[in-house]
Amino acid sequence: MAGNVKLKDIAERVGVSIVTVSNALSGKKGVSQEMRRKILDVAEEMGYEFQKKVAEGGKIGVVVSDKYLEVGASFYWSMYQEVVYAASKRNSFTLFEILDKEISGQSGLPKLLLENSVDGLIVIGWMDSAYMERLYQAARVPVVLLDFHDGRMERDAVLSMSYLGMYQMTRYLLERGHREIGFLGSVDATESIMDRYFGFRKGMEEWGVPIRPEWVLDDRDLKTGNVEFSLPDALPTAFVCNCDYSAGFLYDKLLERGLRVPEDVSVVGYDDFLYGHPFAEEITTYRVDVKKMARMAVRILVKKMQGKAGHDGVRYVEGQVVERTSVRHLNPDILPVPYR
Amino acid sequence: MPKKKVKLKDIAEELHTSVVTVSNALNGKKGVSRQLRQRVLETAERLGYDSGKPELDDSDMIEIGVLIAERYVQEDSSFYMEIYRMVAQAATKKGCVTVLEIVSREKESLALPFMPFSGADVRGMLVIGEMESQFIRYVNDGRMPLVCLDFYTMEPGIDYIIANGFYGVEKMTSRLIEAGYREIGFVGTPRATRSIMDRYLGYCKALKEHGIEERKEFLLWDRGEDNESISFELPEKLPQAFVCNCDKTAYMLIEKLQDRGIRVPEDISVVGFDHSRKDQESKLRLTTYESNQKAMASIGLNCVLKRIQGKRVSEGVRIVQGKVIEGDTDSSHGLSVPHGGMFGR
Repeated sequence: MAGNVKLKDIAERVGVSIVTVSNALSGKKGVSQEMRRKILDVAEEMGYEFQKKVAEGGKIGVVVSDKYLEVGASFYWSMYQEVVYAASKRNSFTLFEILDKEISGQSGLPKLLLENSVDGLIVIGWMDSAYMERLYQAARVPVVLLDFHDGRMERDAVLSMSYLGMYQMTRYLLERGHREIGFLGSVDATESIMDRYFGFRKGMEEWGVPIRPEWVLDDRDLKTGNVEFSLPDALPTAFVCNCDYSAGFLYDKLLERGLRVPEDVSVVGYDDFLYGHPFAEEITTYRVDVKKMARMAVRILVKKMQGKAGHDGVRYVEGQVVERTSVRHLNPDILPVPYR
Repeated sequence: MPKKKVKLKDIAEELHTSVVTVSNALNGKKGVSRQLRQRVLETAERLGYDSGKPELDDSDMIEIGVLIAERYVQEDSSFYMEIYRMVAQAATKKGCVTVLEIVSREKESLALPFMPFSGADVRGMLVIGEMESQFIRYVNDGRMPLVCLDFYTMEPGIDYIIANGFYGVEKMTSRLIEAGYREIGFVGTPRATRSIMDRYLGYCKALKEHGIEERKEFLLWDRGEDNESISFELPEKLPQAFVCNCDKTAYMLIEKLQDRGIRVPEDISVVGFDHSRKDQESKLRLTTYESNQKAMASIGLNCVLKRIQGKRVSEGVRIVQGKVIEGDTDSSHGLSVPHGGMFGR
C-alpha cells in the first residue's frame, strides 16, 4: 500500500543506510549517480510515496464555497485577494477553485486536490467537519484553514479573535455607561458567532451586568443563512452585533421604528466590512486584519510545503477597535466602579 | 592618541538616564521630552559621539528584566519559577541575559515606591504571572517594551503570551460530555482573574454546544474575587464530573471527595488545567490540559527581544496551544475521535 513504505525499507532492500536513502531522495550531495539511480528505482518499485518538497515558490490552491461569494462585496473575496497578494510576495502563485455548495455536501472534493495540481491548499470559510475529514484524507499536501477551524486544535488554521474581539466591543459599551445591552447573532449558526457571544458574555459577567434573554436575538435562518429577525418591544440601550452585515439590518429596523443610532440605541459590530450601506460610515466596530491573516496562512503553508515544522495549530490574529459614531456615551455618574 | 569610542552608555551615565532613552532621543523616537532630547544631543556632541548608525545592538549584551510577584515564588515547586527557568534558557540561546526581580505585595499595590531594576541596564521587561492592573500600568510607562506571560490586561502597547484557557477548557469539558457525562460542574471563581473567567466560559461554551443547561448549583467558587485564599466546600448535590480551573484546585477537590468516601474516577470524574502539579505526591495522576510552557517562554523572550531591537511593535494577545494530558482521574480514556456537538465536531 502506498504510504507505508519507509526509508528503512528501501535502505534494507538496497543494502545502504537510511541517511544515504534520504540524501538520494532529496537530491542532496554525497550519493553517487549510480547509487541515486538505484535507490530511486527501488523506491518507485516499492511504491514509496515521494513527499513533495518545494524549494521555492510553489502552487498554492485556494478554495472557497460559493455560498460565501454570493453576497455583494464578499468578505471572503477580499480575503482571497489578500491571499493571492501574500502568495505572490513569496514567489508562489495561486490556483483558485470555487466549491459548489450543493456538491460539497456530498462528495465534491476540490479538483485541485484530486488532480494533484497544487503543492499546498488554503480553505477559506467554514466547511462542515465530515467534508473536512474527507479532504484531509485525500490531501497529499499541507492544508491551512482560513477563518475557521475544524475542531482539531493541532491542525493549522488562522482565525480572527472572535472571542476577545467581541469582548473588547462589549467593554467599549460598558466603559461608556451602558448597562442594558443586547446581543444580535444566531449563536447556534457557526462557531465564530458562538465565540463572539461568549466574548459578549465575558464583558457582561466581568462587569457584573446581567444578560437579559429577551435581548439575545437570533439574526438568521439556520437553513438558508439569510438574515432574519425582529426587534422586541422593549429595547436595550445598546446592541452588540456579531457582524457588521447584521448590524446594517438592525440599523434599518431601528430606523423603521423611528429610532436613531446612536441617540436612541447604540450599536457596535464586528468585521469592519459593510459595503453599500450608509451605516458603514458610522459603525463602531472591530476591524479584522484580513491582510495579516492571509499573510500568516500563506507563511505557515509555505513553511509546511518546504518541509519545515513550526508551532502548529490554530493561530489567532488580533484586530482593532475602530471607533466611529454609533455609540452614545451615557451618563457615567450612576454606574458602579468598573471591574479592574 | 586614539580617541576612546563614545558609547550610548557613556551619554546615559552622564545624564543619569537609561541607554534606551538616549537611543530614542538620538533616533528621533517618541517617548523623550524635548528638553531631554536637547540635552542628549548636546551631551553627545560634547563627548564626541559618532552617530554613524543606530547602536541599539551595542556590543553590550542585552539585559531583559523579569518581574514575578512574591506570592508565586513562595510556593514549593513554583510554576512561574519553572517558566522563568525556561525564559532564562531561551535567553542564553539568544545570547542575552535576564535580571530577575521579585515584587512584594506592597510594591505591587504601589503602597511603596518602586523603581524596578534600578542599577541595571535593562532594555525590556517580562512579567511572569498575573499582577495587578495598576502595577502593570505603572511599569508600562513607555520607556521600554513590556511582555506579559500567562495573563493579559486590556492595556495597549503590551504583548501578552497566554495559555489557551477558553478553548482548552472547552475541550476538557467536551471530552467529558462525549464520554457520556451530562451533569458537569466547574470549580473556580470566574471573576477572580481574566484567565479564570476565560476557563469558566470555555466550560459554559461546551455545555451550550451540546445543549446542556448550566446549573448554578454546580458552580463552586474556590477563592474570593480578589484571588486570595483558596478554600471551598462541597455542595450537597454533586454532579457526575468536575472541571477545575487549575490543577491545585483539582487536587484539593479530589482530597475533599475522598474524605467523603467518594471514589475518583469511579464515582465522580475530575479534570484540571495547567499541568502545574507534575510532582504531586498522589496515587492518582490528574487528567489535565497543559499549555506548552516552553513555547510560551521562548515566544515571550523572542517577542521582547525583537521589540528591543525595533524589529516589531506590540501585537497584543498571542494564544499558545496546549494539549490534553490523560490521567487517571476521569473515565473518558481513548476518546480521541470527537463526535456530536452542535457544529458537527
